[in-house]
Amino acid sequence: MIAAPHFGFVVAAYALAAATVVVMIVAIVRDYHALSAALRRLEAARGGEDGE
Amino acid sequence: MANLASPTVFLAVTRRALPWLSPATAALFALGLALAFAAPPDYQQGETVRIMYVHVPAAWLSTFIYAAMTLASLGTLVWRHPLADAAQKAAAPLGAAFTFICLATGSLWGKPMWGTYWVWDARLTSVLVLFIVYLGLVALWRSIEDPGRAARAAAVLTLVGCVNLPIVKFSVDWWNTLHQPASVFRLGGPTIAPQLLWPLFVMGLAFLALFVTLWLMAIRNEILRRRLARLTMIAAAEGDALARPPAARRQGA
Repeated sequence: MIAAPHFGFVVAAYALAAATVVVMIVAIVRDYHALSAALRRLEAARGGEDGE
Repeated sequence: MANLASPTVFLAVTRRALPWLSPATAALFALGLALAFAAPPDYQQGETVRIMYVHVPAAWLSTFIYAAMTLASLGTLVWRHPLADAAQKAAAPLGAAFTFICLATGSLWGKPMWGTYWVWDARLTSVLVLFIVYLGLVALWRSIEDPGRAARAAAVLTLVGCVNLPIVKFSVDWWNTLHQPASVFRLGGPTIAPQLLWPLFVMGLAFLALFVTLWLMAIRNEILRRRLARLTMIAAAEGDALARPPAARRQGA
């Protein structure tokens, strides 16, 4: 299979698709962690003010 | 269904669904890729036919996501569904990414099969237009600060852009194109041999599961982003109220 003509195009297509999917997943997961952390900080700050 | 319109219920459902959806997506991809590489090579295309197993599902998703965004736009403009604009905003970058995969893998298939990476063929051009519309929607969401105005503008642009969907689908029938006509979803049934068709269906299902998983995650992010914006505004208002001198506070009260 690997020795077949044009196999490089097959590898390039799968690598490009996989890279795009990984970028999507990483972007969404990072966004989620950033938003969750910001919400936790804000809620903790408001809770601190309420307690004063 | 109407109950799902509540962001709190949606977050609870997502929290339960995601731990099942993510491994199911991974399992479908493992099965799909195993079948795709075990399938026999095509008698004309040889091993290059394996590009079809990522190109075709990405192409299906590129139009499916836009159709879902069109429904969400109606939800925004007509029914003012609480989650409709969040769903539409979350889907746009995913649609752009799957359309990019479709265009790029198609181009990598075209070079060995057609002798060129690109031709201004009706199918290729209409998919490129779809990609540009997706990018336009992402840019529109980022350029308008007020989420309500951004949602309405994006909904109108999405409805205008949906004119392109039948052009993408029927371009191969309406014009003489280098791109082959429909070979899976057609009136006379698929023209692809079952040994090649089944891996394609499994990969299609894997791509769909991936989209649904990422879409739910992205909608959850949108809900959290809005909650954060609301809390920030409340905190700022409380901060302003506390910062004012007592006399001003009494007048304002």
